[in-house]
Amino acid sequence: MDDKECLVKVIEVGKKFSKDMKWSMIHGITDLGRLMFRQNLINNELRKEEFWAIRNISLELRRGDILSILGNNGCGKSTLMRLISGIYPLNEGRIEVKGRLSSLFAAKTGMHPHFTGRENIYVKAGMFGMSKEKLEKKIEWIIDFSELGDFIDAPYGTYSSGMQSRLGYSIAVASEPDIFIIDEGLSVGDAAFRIKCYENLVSLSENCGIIFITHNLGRIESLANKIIVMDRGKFIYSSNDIKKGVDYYLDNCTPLKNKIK
Amino acid sequence: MLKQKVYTPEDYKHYRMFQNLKELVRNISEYKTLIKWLVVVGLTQQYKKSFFGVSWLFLSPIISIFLWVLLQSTGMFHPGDTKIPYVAYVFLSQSIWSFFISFYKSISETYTGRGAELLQNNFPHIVIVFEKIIIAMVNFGIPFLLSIIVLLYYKVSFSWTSLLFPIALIPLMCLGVALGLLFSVLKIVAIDFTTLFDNSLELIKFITPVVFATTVNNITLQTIMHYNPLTYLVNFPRSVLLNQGFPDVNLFLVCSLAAVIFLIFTYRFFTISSPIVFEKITL
Repeated sequence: MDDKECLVKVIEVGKKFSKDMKWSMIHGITDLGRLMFRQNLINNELRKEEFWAIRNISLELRRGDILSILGNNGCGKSTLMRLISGIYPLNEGRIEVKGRLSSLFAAKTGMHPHFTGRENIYVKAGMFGMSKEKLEKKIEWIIDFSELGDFIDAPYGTYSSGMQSRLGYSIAVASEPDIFIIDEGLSVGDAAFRIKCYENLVSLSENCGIIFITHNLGRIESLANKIIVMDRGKFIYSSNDIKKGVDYYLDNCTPLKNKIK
Repeated sequence: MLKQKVYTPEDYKHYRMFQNLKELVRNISEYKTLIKWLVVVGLTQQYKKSFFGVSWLFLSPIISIFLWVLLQSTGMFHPGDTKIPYVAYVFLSQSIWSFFISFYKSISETYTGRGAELLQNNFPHIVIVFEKIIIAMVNFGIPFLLSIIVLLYYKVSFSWTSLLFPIALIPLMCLGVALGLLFSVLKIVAIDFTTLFDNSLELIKFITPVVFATTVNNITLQTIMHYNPLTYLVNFPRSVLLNQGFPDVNLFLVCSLAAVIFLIFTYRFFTISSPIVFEKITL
């Protein structure tokens, strides 16, 4: 599998955040000041009230990979996804991304409740960087895949959260990404649609690299072909054996499990 | 061949002025469909839940013009030395002033108002700025065309030079956009700067010939107006439109050039500094 094209290369990446508002403001002003006076901004030390959200993270994603990242809330999964997506700047390391990347964080953002599903498709597809011509070709597929039927011309605000996530997923897939990041984007769809999405993901992965974040352990076992377990901003386990990875997560990151035992 | 992107902590060092401008053009052409849809959404969303719908874009200014005309008929204004009816003069001046302010206000909200969208979707932030520029233009254009009708009603004479008016407004727009870009970034870090500047806007309006004529009687005010670049950026387009010649044309050109240079630098500041402080919108 490793001879397939490498799409994402994350090398020794670190990202720090402020945890105090006042100090965040002070660091922000200092950074802007240093920038204006052409001073160096790179500082691998923690400043007051800062912490490493993730550090020393390295990974590779190749075409055909369905990588699942497991970890408790706040362990840095979404931060890493935002770094790969180019939304946050990094403090350490290097990220190389090859090809078109689409990330689905929350299906709702960027959608407008008073506009119809169809109108929202145009806005959201634009955010994924789809051109008008490409969207015209794909719009029927999006409506069909999201199974919204006549509701596509009803205001988005009337949709259930499942319908919203169906539409969000369909638009993201229609953008034909080389790298597809799903950060809990499917957690609210109904069982039938989720299964349809998982099947779709498998067929998509033939031509694409997928990073998939969910807390649905059973689904990870049947879907992923690579697994990484994260804890407090670090990778603590990485393998192609999904079952072992899930067990490792359950044994090491779920203190409640031991108590229940 | 797939396009490759590389992110490193040193990214901010690699931006050159020319590269900045080249990237701007590329982003706009790549995301023009998104800009178009965001403009449609921005202009129409507030009227979606209304019976009259987008007609409000016209109805609102008609109502405000009607109110102005009503106020004029009560004779409550005692104008200074303006050669046209005071109500029309003030109406036009207010429109020019709000044209300038609308760019500043809406663009300075780029991150604080639309942060969630930008955190969840990776598209260039300048797209939101362009959306806001176009919306501000439309929001100015419609009431402006209607106010021209009022000016005609008050028998204000226009000439061919009046057609230069939209061009004469460009420097004022540049200044508004530049201030918006600057404060949008500062606002992510702390709102103090914007709050302070917002409060000073009333004062700035007072020292710019918006509701007064430039020939106001107070000497101190006249001196301040003389050194205020906004005086020329507001006064020149207004005079051009009202067929009152080209007052202080050299000063206007100098201030215009300064506004354009200021815009180029604030755009550069925006592109380089916003990624660095962007994450603070969550805090």
